[in-house]
Amino acid sequence: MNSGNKKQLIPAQYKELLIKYKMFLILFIMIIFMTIASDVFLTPRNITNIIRQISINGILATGMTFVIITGGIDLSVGSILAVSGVLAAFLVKNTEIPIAIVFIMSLLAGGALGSINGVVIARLNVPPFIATLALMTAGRGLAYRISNGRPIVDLNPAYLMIGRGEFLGIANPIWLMIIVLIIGYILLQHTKFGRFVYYIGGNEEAARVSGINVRRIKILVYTLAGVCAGLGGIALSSRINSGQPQAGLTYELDAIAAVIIGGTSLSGGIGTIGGTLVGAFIIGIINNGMNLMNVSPFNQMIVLGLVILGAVVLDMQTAGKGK
Amino acid sequence: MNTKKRMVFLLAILMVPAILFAGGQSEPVGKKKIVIGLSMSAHTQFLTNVSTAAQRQADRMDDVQLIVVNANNDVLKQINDVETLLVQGVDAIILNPLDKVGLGGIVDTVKKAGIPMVQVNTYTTNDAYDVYVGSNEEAAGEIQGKWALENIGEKGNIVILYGVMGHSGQLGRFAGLKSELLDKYPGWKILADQTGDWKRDEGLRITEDWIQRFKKIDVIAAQNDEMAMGALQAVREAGLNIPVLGVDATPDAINSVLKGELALTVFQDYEGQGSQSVKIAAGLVKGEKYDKLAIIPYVEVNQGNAEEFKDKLSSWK
Repeated sequence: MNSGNKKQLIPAQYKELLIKYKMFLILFIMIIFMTIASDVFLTPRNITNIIRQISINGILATGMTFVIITGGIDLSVGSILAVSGVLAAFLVKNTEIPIAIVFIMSLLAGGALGSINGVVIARLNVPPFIATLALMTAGRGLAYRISNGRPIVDLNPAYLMIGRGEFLGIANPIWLMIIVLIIGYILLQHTKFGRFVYYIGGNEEAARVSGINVRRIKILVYTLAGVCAGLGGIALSSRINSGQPQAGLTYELDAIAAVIIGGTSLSGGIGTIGGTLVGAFIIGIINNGMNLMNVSPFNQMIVLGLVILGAVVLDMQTAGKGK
Repeated sequence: MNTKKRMVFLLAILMVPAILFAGGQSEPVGKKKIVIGLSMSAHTQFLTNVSTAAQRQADRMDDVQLIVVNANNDVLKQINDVETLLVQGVDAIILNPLDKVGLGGIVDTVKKAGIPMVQVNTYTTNDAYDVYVGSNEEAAGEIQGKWALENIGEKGNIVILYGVMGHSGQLGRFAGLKSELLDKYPGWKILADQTGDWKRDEGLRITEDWIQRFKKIDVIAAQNDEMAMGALQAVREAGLNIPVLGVDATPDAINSVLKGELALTVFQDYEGQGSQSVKIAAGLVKGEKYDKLAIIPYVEVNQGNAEEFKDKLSSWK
């Protein structure tokens, strides 16, 4: 509650809305800015590019949303993506296993790795940062082992259709992102599971005391993040026609950034899939915009860092005021 | 934090991009320029030299404007970079592909858009591009092989530091070393080989381990100077005298050769690669015809001719 404030710039109820949907405001401002700054920004081709460019991050960020709402974090999604990618590439190239089965196997591999995170965090009580950091390192090593240190290239053209094909004129990776977003939204907003995720993030002790199986939910949440990362690995390896053990480096940071910018609080309990999508868009527009404006590659990195910082600071300032 | 402070804070964040972007393009009105998009793969010292040389060439030609983007070692980013260049309506694209296979799809996309594509320094297996400007990677490996043969003999123990696996440089240089030395003289044994990812600290770390493991290494062949310099440091710190071979002839490496430390480096003509790629790309836009391969030769830089090389390079700064 605001106390002791003098004249307010914006009436109270609008202020609440503004804070709650601040990410939409930022997105809107950015679109205006970019449209003025570049005459190719708002073209259908560029917009389509942006959507396709954010699709893998969007998939990863959906799983990450659940994790962060519970008050945790997952640094291993980049490595899980790499493992899934090289595994799929390996199977596609060296075995006769049908592609649909390879698809499922890679998703399961991602889920299995994610569940390791979940068990370590929920049962062994290792802090999520440490647990997922460990898996990030070990997972990277696993990816190198499966691929023998070198990219697995020249994959089955049918497999490449996953990442390079289109359906109804829309690129497949975009479809994958849409499907994941919808499933994520339904899970989060319309199931008991989703409600429990919020409760755990809001107050874990209270959730536990009220009978929620906190351990099980946490394991499921990290498994979900792993499955998303697995899907991301399939999408990437099929798009670039190679299972690369070094794929996905720093992808976890983009996923976390999208989730935070989208309004999910690092302290847990708040967040939406829609917000994450907006966050992913904001990052995608910044990347695309800086390219269109020929910002030097070094400045691009600086800007992105500042944006993430700004998002976290904004989150800290407005935490608890927009509920 | 009250409302006013928050507003100021938000505005400040928005100011940052505005300030950064303010230094953007100011094109002279009038003459229509050929716009060429250069998509670089990473920020190694060598590649930075290539793109600087390209920019210098573009500056020399008053009808050419160069847009440079860098994928920072991320294949997906490079695909995105090229897509964004296409959206901006460039007249030609110069691609420095991060790897041989991942960029295959985007090569087709560019050709479908009907604009010329030149590949520089490395190439994709999808050969739908118009011209490749680069050096024959095998030649660098061959020069290293010849040095080993002439300075050590028909047999010996060699360790090899690879660049990023799958990179055309990694594959080509090894192929050259193999055909010139290892295949012809079975007395040569590879004690160990590993990738240092083109990085100096990796070259140092891996060589340190090798020195512990192997009693007699006759020569260390590194596929680039950064790794060679790392290996050299490991050798010197161990108080040993194993010759180290590099590729690229970076200023660091040339100085080391001049000091009698690094045994050999191979000059990869970044000036030639950078400037030719821009010249040829502009020419293709104007309808000129070129051979598919524009090979810029490698040159050996050893303790005999290092002085002359140093002078030549400083004339380019």
